[in-house]
Amino acid sequence: MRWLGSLLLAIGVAFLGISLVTFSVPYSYTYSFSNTLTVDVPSFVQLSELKVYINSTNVTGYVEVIEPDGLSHVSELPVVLYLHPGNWTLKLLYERYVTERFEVVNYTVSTNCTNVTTQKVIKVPEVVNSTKAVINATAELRVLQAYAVGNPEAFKALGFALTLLGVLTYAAGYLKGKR
Amino acid sequence: MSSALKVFRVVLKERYKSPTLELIVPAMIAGNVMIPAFLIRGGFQPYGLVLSFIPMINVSETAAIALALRNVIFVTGEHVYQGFVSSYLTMPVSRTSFFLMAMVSDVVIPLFTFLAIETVYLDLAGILNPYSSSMLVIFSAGYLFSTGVIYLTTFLLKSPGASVLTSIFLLSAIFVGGGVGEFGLIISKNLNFLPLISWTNPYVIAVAETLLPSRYFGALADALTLGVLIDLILGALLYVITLLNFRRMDL
Repeated sequence: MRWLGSLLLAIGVAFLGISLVTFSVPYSYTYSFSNTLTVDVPSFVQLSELKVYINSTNVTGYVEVIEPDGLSHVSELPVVLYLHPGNWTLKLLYERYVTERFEVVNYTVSTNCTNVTTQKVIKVPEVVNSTKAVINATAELRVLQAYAVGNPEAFKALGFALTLLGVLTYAAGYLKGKR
Repeated sequence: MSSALKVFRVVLKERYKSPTLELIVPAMIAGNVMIPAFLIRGGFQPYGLVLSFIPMINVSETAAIALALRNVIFVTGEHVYQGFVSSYLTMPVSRTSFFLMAMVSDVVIPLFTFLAIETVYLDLAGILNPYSSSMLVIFSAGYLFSTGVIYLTTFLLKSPGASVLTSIFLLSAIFVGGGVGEFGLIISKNLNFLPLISWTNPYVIAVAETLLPSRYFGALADALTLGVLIDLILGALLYVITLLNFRRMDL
């Protein structure tokens, strides 16, 4: 009886201890993706931040964010997402960037006697919409709040109950042995 | 209560008298904080989870192995060295039954305690997935092989110091040497010989498979499965050899 009490007490204290553990990580994890990124946020992570951007000044990217509950929305990059537990999917939809195209144009110069037409190569800016990602998108994950278990409050209550039960069982065993 | 159960109760009481479980079980529970720490550092990728299950990094696994090591060498082994086993055998149990009782209480109970704690913890933390389940299977196979080696050396050498040193050196050589060999084969992309040595250290293959899944496309999974099977077969073989040795032993 007493061994059961001390074992329950030890388990209860361990449960209480593990429920009080919190992680504050001054560290970010970087993903690089060109098509789809899946981030499976475990339930012990209460809140995390995902900053998605394209590391190029002349490219605008669009990403489709599919949330764990199935809802989806399209955001223009850069975007900061606050992730709650579940499976998040990010799809790089398309990129829009400005490129320069060389075009040969006829160039007419008027002189005193006649008009002279020559050809000239000029640069023409062009907006390209690409559904195929050329530049990788970067996603920076930062965990803002995490515990060691999924539901620390329930774990704390369970630990407290086990500790109490352990003390009572140990006391009952002690009294029984004394009698 | 049947006589066999009474003997089993004595065997069990001897190994788990207070405060053995009171120290080991909380250590196993609290040691799990390493798993979320690794998973966060690894950006929730599977290899973070796999890394956290490598023995010595994972406190719970180390506690289970330490308990088994202590049970085998310093309880069962001590009885064999001192000749106390003969007093057990005067009880109405056969040598085979006594060996099985000792094996269950020495090896199987720490493993089941570990598996129960891990399963409950992983489920509560929301990370009970195919990766973590596979790591539990890999550990269980390696654990049975390692304890099989410890059991055999204990019964053969009949000295606690010699058993500890021999089994630890032998297991370390297999684990480290095999791991280095596997690493060499993986980086040289010579995957044909990998299944042959995968049993020595399946963790290297598990890490490589989860770190770069697109490079190997599951080619390492077969080697991993074979390694786990070889570990289980070798473990069972070692236990059978030890049992046969114990049945013919002069006590």
